[in-house]
Amino acid sequence: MSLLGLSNRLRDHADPRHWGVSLIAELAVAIGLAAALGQLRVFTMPQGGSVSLEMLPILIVAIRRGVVPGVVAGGLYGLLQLVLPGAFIFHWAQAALDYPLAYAALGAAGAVGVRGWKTLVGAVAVGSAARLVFHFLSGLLFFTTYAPSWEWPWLYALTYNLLFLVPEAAITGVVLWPILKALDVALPGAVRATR
Amino acid sequence: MRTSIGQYYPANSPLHRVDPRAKFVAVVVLAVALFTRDSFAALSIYGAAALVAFVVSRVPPLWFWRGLKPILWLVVLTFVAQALLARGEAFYSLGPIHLTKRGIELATYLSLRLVVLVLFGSLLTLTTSPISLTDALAWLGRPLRRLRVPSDELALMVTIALRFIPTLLVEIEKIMRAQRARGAEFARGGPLRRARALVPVLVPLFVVSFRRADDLALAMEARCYQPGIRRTRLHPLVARPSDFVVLGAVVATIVAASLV
Repeated sequence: MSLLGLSNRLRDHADPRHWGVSLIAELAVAIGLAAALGQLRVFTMPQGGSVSLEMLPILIVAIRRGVVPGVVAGGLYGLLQLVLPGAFIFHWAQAALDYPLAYAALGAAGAVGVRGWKTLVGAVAVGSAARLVFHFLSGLLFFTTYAPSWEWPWLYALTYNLLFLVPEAAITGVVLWPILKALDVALPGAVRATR
Repeated sequence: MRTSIGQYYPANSPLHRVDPRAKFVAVVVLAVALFTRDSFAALSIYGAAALVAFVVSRVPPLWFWRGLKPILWLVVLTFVAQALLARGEAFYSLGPIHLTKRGIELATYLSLRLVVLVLFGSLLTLTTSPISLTDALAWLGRPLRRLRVPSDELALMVTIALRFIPTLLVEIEKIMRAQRARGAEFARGGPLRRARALVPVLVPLFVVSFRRADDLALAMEARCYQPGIRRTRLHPLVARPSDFVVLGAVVATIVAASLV
């Protein structure tokens, strides 16, 4: 991926004021899809968390439309989650880190131009890693607030978040390619994500 | 499959009638203020305010309990962490466990503060429908227009998303049934196998949904929707004296909590 390509991808739809109706509608439906998929539990983890496919629509928007639409869709989905059942809040700053900011960060996946399997894995990794940063910060806040006497809070925060983000990213990555292919075939007029 | 979304409890209490903008600002301010002062006295004032609002809201206690359930393990963990590792002089020891007065106090304080925080949050989401919350956020986000943030368009996306969640849940259910009828199994094998089994559900789901987004865009354009143009509302938000009473009560609570 050339540097010029990256800057092009960052510029695509960078100004939300100039978004067309079709992009607005696509983002709205993607946010709805994320919320619907969030209710569907694919697999329950041994330590209690569960893996869902809620990242999928946000990543698809980021890959098809670019970083800014991905960030907007993720951020709005994060905000929406705060009012949906199951939101987990222990601190006002954590609420911002774990929901709007962490999901908005997924939009970073749009910076990778997806051309095949390898770049797709790269996009999922970039998006998930960006999301991890915010969950990690919230984890630090958690362990310093609720277990102040424990040493190495960063280690617990990193381990806990990796334990659920890695499986979620892997599962999302496995199903992402066939969906992107199918969307390119089904919506020929729209932007192509796969080549 | 549940098709209702959000935690909204429909009723006609004074708290339900308060302007969503006032409620949102009140809860955010209280949630931040709760963390500015560490004392049992301040916490009891916030707790009392939450209890009064809870009684006024006329929401059954069971609905609040649902919000509290997910944080119970956090309360347990706080106590365990304090019991195992708190420093100070132990008044009771059993093997590696040393209970200290300071540790128990800290654990109790952290747990109670968490309960009060969740109560404040629940008061907002139980008495305000997601749609009016979105309206409130759009209004509060208006100053951001100067920073080129299209707050109305963002709010519209959330409103459409909320409208589509039940439809999409029904869609998922329908596709899953159709694939089951063809012999698909979703609840077998490890995580990766389960994910692969979902591909025949996800592909039609995304294609149908994105086509629906195209139709939606066409329908919006046919009704002359244009992004970037200020829209008028059928039900504009109007602030009433009672909304200022609520905000005044919030300020009074925070002042009282910072004085004790």
